[in-house]
Amino acid sequence: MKDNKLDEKLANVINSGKVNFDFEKWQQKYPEALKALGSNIKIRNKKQPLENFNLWKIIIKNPITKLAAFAVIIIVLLVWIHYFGGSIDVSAKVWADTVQRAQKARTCAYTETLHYEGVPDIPDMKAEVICKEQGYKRTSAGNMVSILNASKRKAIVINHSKKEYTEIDFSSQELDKPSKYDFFERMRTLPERADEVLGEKEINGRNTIGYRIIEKGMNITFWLDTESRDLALSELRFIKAPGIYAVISDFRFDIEADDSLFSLEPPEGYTSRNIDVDRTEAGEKDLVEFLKLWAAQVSNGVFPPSLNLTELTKASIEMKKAGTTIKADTEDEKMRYLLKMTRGLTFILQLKPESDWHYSGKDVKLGESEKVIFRYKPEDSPGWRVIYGDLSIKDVNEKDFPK
Amino acid sequence: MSEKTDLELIDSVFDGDKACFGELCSRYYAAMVAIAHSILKDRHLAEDAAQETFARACFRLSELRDKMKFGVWLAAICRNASLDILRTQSHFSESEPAEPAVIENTGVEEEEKVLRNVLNGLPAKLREVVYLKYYDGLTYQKISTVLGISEQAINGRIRRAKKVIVRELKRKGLTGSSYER
Repeated sequence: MKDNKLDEKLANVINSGKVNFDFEKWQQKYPEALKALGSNIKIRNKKQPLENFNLWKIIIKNPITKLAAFAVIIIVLLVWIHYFGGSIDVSAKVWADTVQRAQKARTCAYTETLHYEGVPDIPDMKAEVICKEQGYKRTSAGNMVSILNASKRKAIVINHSKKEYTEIDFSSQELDKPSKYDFFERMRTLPERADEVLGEKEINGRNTIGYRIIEKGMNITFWLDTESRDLALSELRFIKAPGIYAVISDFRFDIEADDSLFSLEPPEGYTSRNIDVDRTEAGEKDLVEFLKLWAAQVSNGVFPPSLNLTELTKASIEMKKAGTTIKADTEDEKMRYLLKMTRGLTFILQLKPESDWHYSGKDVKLGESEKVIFRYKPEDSPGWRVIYGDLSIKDVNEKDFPK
Repeated sequence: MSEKTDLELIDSVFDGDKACFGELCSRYYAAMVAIAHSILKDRHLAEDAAQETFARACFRLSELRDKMKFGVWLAAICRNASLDILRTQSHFSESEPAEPAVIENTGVEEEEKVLRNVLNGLPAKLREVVYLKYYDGLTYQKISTVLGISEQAINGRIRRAKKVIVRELKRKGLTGSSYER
């Protein structure tokens, strides 16, 4: 009897009412899921290899991570647009076989995880990517999906949880080679020789050989399965964003990928949330805008501690912990700020090493006109461009440069 | 017409019948919410995690090696989805996951609060089985399909859990003759 009493108490504490599953509502909430189930079914019935078929892993549905995921998609897109490309060298047979296989492949899928080194408080950002030849790319992170159609130079970002979409037009940007923004196309245009052979390593029970390709702005490591010649793992390190690196895993060639997955048509009933995006090349004014926004909207008049992406991420997390967020009245306004800030960072990423840029805005307050917060040498210019604490910009000769 | 078994439903899903996937979800929803609730300690987040579980399952169905272990496989996805949410909550949430509100601090509610704390302090495996047992009238058979253990083993775990609960309640001064076994 006393056991019954405990049962009763436990039932009271635990059982908070009947749970009912509403399939209709679930389908509305996860419109991508049944599509993927369809792909799984096709593949299963065709008896294709099933190992590691994992279309995507969904990141959690927190408003902050949604925003972060969106930002990551944009940042990754921008980084890839600007830093993929270049030529190389090849060596072993494994490498050659994989290159050949990649050249013949028409589709691929992979998981892309963005890691932040030395930032323990930020979870890795995962996205599942499906690519199809002719520059189609679909990136999914939770309920956020971005679809890029390179031939049309257009993209759409869909937020399924809010039933909203944003259309992006890249027509004014350099998108001449798909290999510049698409890992699949990058694989398909791999050179005949790698810059470096790294030796053998076991990854998840697979024997692999490592290769490194060093390119302008980044270096890429490929670990290829010695038996299947599959790509077991790839790591991309961005020279201008130290501490941030992307890992490509679960890479599969020639998966089922229906054209409808790459449709730029917004889903029916979704509302447009198109934001005026400045699509011109990011420039100095964008950096100034970034510094102004950070000081004014984020950190009570103080400039960011660093312009290193990892350090900025750390600072953002610390501010979030302290309850500080971007001061904006609406989500749209917040997104506009975010996009503007992204352009400022893009400008930094675009600067060549010869620009010798230096940031010294840590602890400087907006308006401190005597303090230099940023300097760089524009291309083909003998002098410096200097940004001061009041965000004024001056051309300064080498000999007059403030010590 | 007799109701399809889980195995028949899974076969139908592989034959392209998406409605059967919906039926499987309905059958496993309460169990998934219970598992997620035992981790997240919040009913609404638990429902989110359970729904997320089904979405992840769609993407990973081809990884299901043994159709007989669909429930166990689903439960593993659910634990991961819940832990992901828990991690995000601890990193980013504006507020901590909500405990069910205590309306008035009467003796009974205080008692329930203590019991809830004791429950939350149980080792994960024991807490999970307790949530499954007391959630929405789940049968031992259903619990067995998601934990992959026999009904006797479930009974054993529940007994162990209750023993720990009674011991902890005693330690907290709720000796309550009503709890002693």
